[in-house]
Amino acid sequence: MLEIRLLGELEVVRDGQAVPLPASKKSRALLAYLAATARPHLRERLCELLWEGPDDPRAALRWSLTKLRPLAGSHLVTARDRVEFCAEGASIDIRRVGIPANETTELLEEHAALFRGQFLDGLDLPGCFRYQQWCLGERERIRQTHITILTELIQRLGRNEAALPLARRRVTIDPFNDQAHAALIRLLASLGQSHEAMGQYESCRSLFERELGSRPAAVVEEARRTIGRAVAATPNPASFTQISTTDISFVGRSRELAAIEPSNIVVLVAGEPGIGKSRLLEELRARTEGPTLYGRAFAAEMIRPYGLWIDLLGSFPNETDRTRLFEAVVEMLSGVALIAIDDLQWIDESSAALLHFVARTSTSRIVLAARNGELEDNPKALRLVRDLARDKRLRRIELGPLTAEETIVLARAVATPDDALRVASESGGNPLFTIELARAQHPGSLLEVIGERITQLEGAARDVVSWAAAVGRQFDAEIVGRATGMPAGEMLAALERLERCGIIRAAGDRYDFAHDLVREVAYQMVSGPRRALVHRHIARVLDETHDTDGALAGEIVHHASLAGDHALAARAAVAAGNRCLRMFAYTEAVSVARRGLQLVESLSGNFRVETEMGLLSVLVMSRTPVRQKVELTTRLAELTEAARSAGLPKTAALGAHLLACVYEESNRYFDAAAATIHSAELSRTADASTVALSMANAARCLLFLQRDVARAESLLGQASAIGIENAELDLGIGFLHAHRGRMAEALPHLERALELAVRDEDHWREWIALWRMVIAALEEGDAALALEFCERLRPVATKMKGGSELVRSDVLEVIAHWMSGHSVDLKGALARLREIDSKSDLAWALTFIAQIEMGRGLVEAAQQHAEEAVVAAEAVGRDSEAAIARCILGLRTKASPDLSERARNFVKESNHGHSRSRAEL
Amino acid sequence: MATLVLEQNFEAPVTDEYLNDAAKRVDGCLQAHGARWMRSYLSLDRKRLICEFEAADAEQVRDSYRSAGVSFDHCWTATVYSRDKPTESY
Repeated sequence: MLEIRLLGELEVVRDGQAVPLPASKKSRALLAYLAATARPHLRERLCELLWEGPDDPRAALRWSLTKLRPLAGSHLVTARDRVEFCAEGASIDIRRVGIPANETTELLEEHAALFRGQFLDGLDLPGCFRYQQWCLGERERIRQTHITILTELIQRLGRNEAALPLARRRVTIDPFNDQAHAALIRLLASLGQSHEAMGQYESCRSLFERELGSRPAAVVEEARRTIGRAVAATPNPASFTQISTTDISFVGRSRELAAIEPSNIVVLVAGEPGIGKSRLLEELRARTEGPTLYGRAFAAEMIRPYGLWIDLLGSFPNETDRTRLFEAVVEMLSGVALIAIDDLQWIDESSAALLHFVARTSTSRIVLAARNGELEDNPKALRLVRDLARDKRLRRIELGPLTAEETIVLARAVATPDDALRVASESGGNPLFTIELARAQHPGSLLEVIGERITQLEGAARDVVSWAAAVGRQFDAEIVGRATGMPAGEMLAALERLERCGIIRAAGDRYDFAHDLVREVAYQMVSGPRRALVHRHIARVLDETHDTDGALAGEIVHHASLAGDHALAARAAVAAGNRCLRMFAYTEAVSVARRGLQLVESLSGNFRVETEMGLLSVLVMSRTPVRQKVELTTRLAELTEAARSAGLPKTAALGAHLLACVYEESNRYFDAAAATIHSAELSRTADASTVALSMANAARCLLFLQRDVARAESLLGQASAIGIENAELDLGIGFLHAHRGRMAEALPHLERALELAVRDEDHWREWIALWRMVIAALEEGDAALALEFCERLRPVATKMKGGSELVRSDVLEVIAHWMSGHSVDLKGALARLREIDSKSDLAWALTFIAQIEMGRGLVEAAQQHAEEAVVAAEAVGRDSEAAIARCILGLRTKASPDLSERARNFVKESNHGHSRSRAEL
Repeated sequence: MATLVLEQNFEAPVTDEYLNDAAKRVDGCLQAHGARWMRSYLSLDRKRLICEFEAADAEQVRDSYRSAGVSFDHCWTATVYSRDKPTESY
């Protein structure tokens, strides 16, 4: 008979024997999910639940299922697209719990006994949003059922001693319920246990004051009055065997140390928790001559790109690209004799990439430590290990138990002589277990003895342990102090006590748990509702901390999500995502942005618009495949519109900018003929000003070519929305107005472009702005104004080396003089234009001249010029000039007979600019 | 399409990085114009570069370089003579 227990830590029992569970947390979570739901699931949904990400989720699911098959046997039914846990013939505790009111008292007692802790205790996966949401939801639902069962039972049992443990348990799982406290106080008082009743009242009052900032309700005060005059007893300080791990001398491991001895390749020390990996690293560091560095990864799934390296180095270089960043780190590591990295199974993607780079390029020795079986849970860690092994740069050393003799030596160092032999034999050679057993007052499993030791702590020390465990990694005493609101003196005394007991230890200017198992146990001992509260306080404290570059944002996301504070979590996700982008940690950026997007679904109003836009911005700026970015455009457009109508101009501008980036990258606005200058390459790393510049540039290019004016206009609109001033933008807008024959509107923009170009010492843009002003004046028929502009144009053209600017300026000046009736060498100017092979300028000049000649009745000359203009214009695709010239020749255009007909009419206006723009209509 | 030649002289030897970066910047605009890079000749001292393009006119190449902010010394339209066509223009 297979029995699956979900009400507490996950346990699988077959025929009365506990079955070992897979080391991989995700595999255990999968089993729990399948057993709890006991219905078929699509493989795709299971992948989304636990393996959402860029790696191969279906392979991960298959791998997990192979681990579960020996446990679940025939109950695990797998098909090509579905997976099911068939509950028939198996016992699953959660399915046995019914509606309390309908059950007999005996059955209720039996059900109450099924609850060994909270639902799936310790099986949280904050990085798997869907699973975590499901788990938290179920946990709360089941907690409520548990409370209802206890309340019903306590009521049925009345003033009976048997009700006491149930009432205590109810207070533990529902700590902020006044009624539960009141019931326990009354029960204790009625059973004559006045001291305990008063103690319970005091602890209730201090809990409410400290964590809710209020006093318990009147019902608790009423319960207190039933106690009479009893006085609360002072709790007895528990006795402790005070041993710090660092005081214990190093035992055994000579074979492993010899195997690690100086070699150029990376060594990975693997073994079960508590087997002594960290202690081995510590010993290696002590034996190494020269500087050494130690860093460790942390279990809590916070977004901290390069977190391991930042902790290890104490500072982090600021570079403009990832390769330089990596090189700078290697530079910082020069002279370091040994780099020791612990808990590799939890490493983040960016830290793993950097570690790979360091392993290939640095001269320092590298020793890694990882928990057996858990590496497979982390594809980044696994890939790193496989890549290094493939390159023959990695040697793996399995760390097994200590020998019997070594265990006795260790036991003697930590236990009383009477206990040493017992401790050594019970621990099975696991050093941490040996130490914990020596400290324990009662025998038990490793986790039980750790749990017992934490339970023995009292007052401030107990509190600090809970809060520090929730922090999830090395903790800052100040942050914990601020979160708990504990006075500094009390806090320091508590830390000192914890350090003396070997529960925590100093790690630089921070503290860390002596072992991550201690942290895990301490965290599991905090009840569900209190956990949420603790995480909320930590998130708020971190949020209030001065953090300009968003270094804490990833941690805020983690704590705020666990606290259910979606608004704070989503806001922090934006900051965390942007920090990841700055650090070139693109995978993390996408992951935190996607997490944030799931959170914003529960938000509303302007805050949602702003936050969601910020998250989409992270996705667009990351290296997400273009295809996926295009899928965002609908939502981006909706949000931009929402921001506009809600009066959020900055957010609307950001939306326009993001849309433009996606369009540009996806090349949607640019077919082959009009491919923009910077397109994909640029927008990947683009900041707002670069994108604006690139769009304006593309627009001006199109206007110069007279192609797709509508597209150019749209690009200019988007570039303007970004709101960053640049010469190219004004140039583009000036070109557009001038193209449409709107001289009055064109000139201020061209002047502004000129001003900005002068400021930036951009001679070419200075020249082209003036050049377009001359043409605009000529097209308006204002030769005098054109000559004024020519005066300014000539010195700029003279400054320019190698190009055609001087000849092109000269032609315009000659035409302006010719228009004013001066005698000039028009032929010579045109010849020079032919010489430099500037066909578009030639086409314009010839058409312009031919139009004036037509007006002056010089038909033959006009036709000669127009003939050449047609050839030049068609060669470079200047359709307008070609059409006008053909009209002059009395020919019909090839492209559009209708266009030529209309153009013919407008030529009569003898205004080149107007006729061109209207010819296009 | 005509053959265009663009000449660049550098005071110090140019790096591949510079050349790649410049090419990247110029390429988009060239494409927009419908012009095409054909080949380049870099002198052994890396101080002189001749690039060959196919374009409708020289201005397309010049404009691409100017708007990308890449300087050059000369840009001219060429008649091509080769082993296959020693006397005919390209």
